[in-house]
Amino acid sequence: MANRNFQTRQALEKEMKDLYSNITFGASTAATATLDLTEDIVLTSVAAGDDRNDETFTVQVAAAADNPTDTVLAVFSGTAAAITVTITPNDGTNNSATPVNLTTAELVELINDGSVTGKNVTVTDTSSLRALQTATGGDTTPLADSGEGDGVAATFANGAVADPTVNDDLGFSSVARSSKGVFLATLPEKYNKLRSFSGMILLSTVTDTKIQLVSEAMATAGTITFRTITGTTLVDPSSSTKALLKMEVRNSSV
Amino acid sequence: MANRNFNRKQALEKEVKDIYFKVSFGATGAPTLSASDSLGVASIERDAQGTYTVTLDDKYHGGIKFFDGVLLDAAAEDIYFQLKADSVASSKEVEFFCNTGATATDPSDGSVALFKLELKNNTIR
Repeated sequence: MANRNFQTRQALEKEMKDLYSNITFGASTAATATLDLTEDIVLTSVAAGDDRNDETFTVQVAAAADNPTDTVLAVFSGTAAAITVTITPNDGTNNSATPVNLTTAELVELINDGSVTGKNVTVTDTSSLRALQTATGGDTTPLADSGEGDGVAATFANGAVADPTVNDDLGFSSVARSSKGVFLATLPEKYNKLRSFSGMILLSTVTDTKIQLVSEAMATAGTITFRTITGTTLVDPSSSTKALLKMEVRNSSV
Repeated sequence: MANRNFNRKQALEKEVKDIYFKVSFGATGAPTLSASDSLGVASIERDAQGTYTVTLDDKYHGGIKFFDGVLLDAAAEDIYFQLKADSVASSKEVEFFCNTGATATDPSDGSVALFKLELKNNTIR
């Protein structure tokens, strides 16, 4: 340890106290959704966290049509919040009277890879919606207009971000995630006034994440609310991210 | 100088020490420590673009409680500082990034930065 002479720290205000805390942000769990089929397909959001909770993914199966050559058409449409994939099987008109369809297992492959081995699938995905989730499940049951898969919708749920872990509880007794990128920190005691608050990200890789004070109720509840942002967008730091937090509080109204 | 009554600041933690240092940046982010404004700091090195290691004179066994830096520059510059690693308890080193967005970036030639480290000098709570 440093064996040197250090000087007393001073301030013009009376009863100024420095409080420190060190937190590790919580892990994120991806939202999932289940398409209710003969053998269900489980969709998992690529983005972890609770952003996709309540968003939907719907399968529509159109009547087989005279698609070019041996193609099956797959169109991803809608928005990230409400994705629809429309499958149009091939009725064989332009394929030597050989119809071509997809099974539910092949729909899984299509969602994951954008293609199906041994099938010629023409994918239209102008908004890049397909890659927002991965899929598992399905079986050899063919998709069918007014049958298997047609009109089946799944709603994403159970995406979550855990509360941060408080590594140094002298400063904060707890930190709870209120919503995306917003955290409520509770101190062990109340103080008369918050005089400053700062946060510094500690991470071995570069990250564009800053910490900003949202509100404080130091005197009445011993709490502060802070946010983590990139630019002006709220973000949840990854679970490997730590933050060093410092508050300067006044313990008197004198 | 200010001729006023100042009051002692306190912390819940024992043995919290403030270390200040001042760095001027040259071409390609080459750092120069201002020795007279950097008591307790031995050296600073540029490891890579926008990435620096500061070596302290001493080890601080309780680690870094807080770190902050601010750029002092007459011209606007989109730079902020991020702590990369804390090894003041073992190797006396502090690593930090200078970032523009999510890119480690060298501060401009001629800019100056003021830094503050708050360190705990023991492991006793």
